Amino acid sequence: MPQNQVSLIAVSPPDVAQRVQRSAQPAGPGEKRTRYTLPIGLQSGSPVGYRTRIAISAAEANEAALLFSLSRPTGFVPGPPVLERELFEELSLGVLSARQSTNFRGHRQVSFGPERSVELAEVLRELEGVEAPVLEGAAMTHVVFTRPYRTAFTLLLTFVGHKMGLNLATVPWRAFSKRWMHTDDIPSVGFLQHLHLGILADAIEQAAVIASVGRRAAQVFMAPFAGRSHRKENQAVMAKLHQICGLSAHDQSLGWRVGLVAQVGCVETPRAISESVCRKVGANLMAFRSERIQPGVNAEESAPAAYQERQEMDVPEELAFMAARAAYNSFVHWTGCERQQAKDLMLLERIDVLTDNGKERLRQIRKDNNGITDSLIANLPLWADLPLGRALSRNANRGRKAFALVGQRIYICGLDKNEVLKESLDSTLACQAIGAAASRSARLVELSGCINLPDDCDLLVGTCLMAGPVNQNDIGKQFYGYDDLLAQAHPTKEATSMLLWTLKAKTVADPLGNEEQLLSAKRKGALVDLRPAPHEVVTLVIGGRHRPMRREAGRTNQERAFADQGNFVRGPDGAHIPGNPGSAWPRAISDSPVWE
Amino acid sequence: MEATHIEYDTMPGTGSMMLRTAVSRKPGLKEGGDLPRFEAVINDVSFTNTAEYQAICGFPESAIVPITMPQVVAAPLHMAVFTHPDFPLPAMGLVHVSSRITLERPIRSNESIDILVWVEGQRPARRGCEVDLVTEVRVDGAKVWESITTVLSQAAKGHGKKSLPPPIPEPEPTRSALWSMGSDLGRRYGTIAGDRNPIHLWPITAKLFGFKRHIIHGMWLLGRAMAELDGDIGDGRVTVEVAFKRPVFLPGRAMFSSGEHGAGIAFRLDNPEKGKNHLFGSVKQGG
Repeated sequence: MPQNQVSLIAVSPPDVAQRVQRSAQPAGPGEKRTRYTLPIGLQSGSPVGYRTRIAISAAEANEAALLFSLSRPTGFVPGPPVLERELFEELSLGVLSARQSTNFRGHRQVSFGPERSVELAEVLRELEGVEAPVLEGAAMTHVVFTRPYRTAFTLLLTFVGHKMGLNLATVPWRAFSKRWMHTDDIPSVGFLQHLHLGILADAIEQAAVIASVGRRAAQVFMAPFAGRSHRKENQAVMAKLHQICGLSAHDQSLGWRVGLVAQVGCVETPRAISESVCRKVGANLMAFRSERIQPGVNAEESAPAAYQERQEMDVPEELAFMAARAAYNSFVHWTGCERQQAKDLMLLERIDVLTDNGKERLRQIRKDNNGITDSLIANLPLWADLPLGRALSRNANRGRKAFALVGQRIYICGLDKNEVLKESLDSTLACQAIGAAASRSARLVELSGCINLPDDCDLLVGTCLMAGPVNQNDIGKQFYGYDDLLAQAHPTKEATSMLLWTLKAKTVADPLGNEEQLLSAKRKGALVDLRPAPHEVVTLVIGGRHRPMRREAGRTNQERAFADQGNFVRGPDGAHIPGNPGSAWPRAISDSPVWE
Repeated sequence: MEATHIEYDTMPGTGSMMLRTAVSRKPGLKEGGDLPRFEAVINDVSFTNTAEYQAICGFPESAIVPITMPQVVAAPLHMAVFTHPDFPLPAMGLVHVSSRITLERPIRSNESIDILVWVEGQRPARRGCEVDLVTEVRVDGAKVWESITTVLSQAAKGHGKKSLPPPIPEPEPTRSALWSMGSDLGRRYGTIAGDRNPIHLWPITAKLFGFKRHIIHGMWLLGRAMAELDGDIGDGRVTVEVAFKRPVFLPGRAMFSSGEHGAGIAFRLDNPEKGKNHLFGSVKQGG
């Protein structure tokens, strides 16, 4: 389906007097290190690191805009072999960083070179319901595996919503069916797997273009592996893919299955984007992360002054419009539906804090979600909570912070499953498309916030994609009689909310401590996982051998992607955080083709 | 005293020399005495475990011998010199304080090399004396590699004067990476490099020699540093200088950083928690 052209829209910085930055300082001697202090070092195999956004000009933004309405390739042409460095950078923007939940590592990838891509293309042609033609001549093929969303949060959910007296039997049954039948405690937890996959699919398309400076494109197949009916039809082909990729029976018992396949190859007409723009966009994509704090609104009391004062800034209406356009582009692209259909199917509620009733609506959502948390805690089985020292109820209480909705623009997004089915769309694919749409829109907004970014601002606009408030509402829906978050905005529909995202115009980035939880093993908490290194999630099939990417000779990756742009967080004296800039992978390998 | 010349047809084993190191008692260098020349020679040596060496130090697999590897190949000759019955300084307790390695041109792993090792004379240090152990590697008669390894022996009278240590360069890092070293690294490297000094093997064997835990070989640290620098080093004539300051205990972590400095690249290895320096050095091309 054709996509509408989008533009990146500049956001005006506030007066110089109002511009504040993170400016994290190292903890002084004897001072306690907090999320607001500068980390003392970084040991990570992830390509991300602690990064800063870099300014792009309006002209560069215009050039980069094409990344938000990429069409599918219609054919591949012969081209130079894929260099290891190009593959690293492509995957750094894809499976190694695509905006996943911070506490969930739900994707793995097996990548094949041109020869095996021929064999895989044959297999893909056997699929029913492919959304686009399987192409000849791919330079490589990525097979991405996905698994159900399971974290400490879903462990807590095992104990939620049971009836007194019966819970001694129903809790173990729930735990058993989660582990062995991969059922979800509440539907919205099941959506997370699909949302994340959609986010990755959209990222893979962009990544292929950026890493190859427009020479390559990705043909991503997600639909054949999406809904139950498609998966049933394609069971035999999926089994073949599992076998080719070496997915073990144990992996499958844990719920791993193929989620998407991406063919990547050279296109006849390269995209009109320059190398310098690709480098800047790539480095910025490495820097984007969820921005949760709106200065002067939801900062902790202990936060530094920069987070305490409101800034006179707003998200321009034009940017909100383009963000929505990018979202519809993505939904249309991934579902194949018409644009108007997309507008009808994607159920949105836009809450503008600064306009009529916005604040009231937010208060109401907060009140409802707090009520749900109260009910949840009151109904937790004591036989589980007490022996754990009330850890379950403590964790549930702690969750309240994660449900705070803050930002000048807040969008709640969801679907009416019946409407989706009426339009003959697969509801799982539609859910994946919601993820893709939200993340594409978020990336457009984030990159817009880098246009003419002044030196005294960390950013001009940030976003946060959240599922927490939706999950909390879903607990209320399933067990305590609450309405869906979207019920008020769409009273005639049977709305199911899935995701929400917030846009925040501000100049100070969230504390580094948030990222440190993702990247530093020392700060690893119960709810936190670490961003993966290539060897942890990517397997390269070279000469018939399956090899973890960038694990050679007892050495693993410490390179940061797009490091040439130098956008690393520095201390107040301009010094680097030890380990943060990383170290480039040996050139003898990274400058060579992955597959000869 | 006359020079002592030792010539080998095949590379000597290090087991008996290690034993000799442990049991021999040597008087040390008398005041006013000079260290005579000791030299050891071997011709037509092949590189036998290049891939293993490259792997353990983190060099990519290549037909080119890593810049630090000839030092490892020549190590049995170093041992032969230091454990020679007439060598006056006890090998036990020699501390490797610095090295200067010059590579004239890349050496291929299928080239056979001639190695000449010698020591002659000493310099007084604050506590003891410093001895330069020179290693020359030739291919078809042409010198392709040379190292000067400076070791400190306390079995001689020192000058006792305190001097300021050389400043440790602090370049803007173009590389900054944290290394994790497992407890078995010394054993694995020792097997490949043929250096099974007990201080590198197990905590208990290291404790016997006064260390709180076992430590990694200095030459592994240098090899790993060269692997990290990778293409920054270049292909032509290269000179590497390194000063070893503090040992790295195993298991352990160390922060490597490097960046342009003067006419070359400076590198350093620090303790990531305490910030203390383990080693620092520089790499210069050409010259």
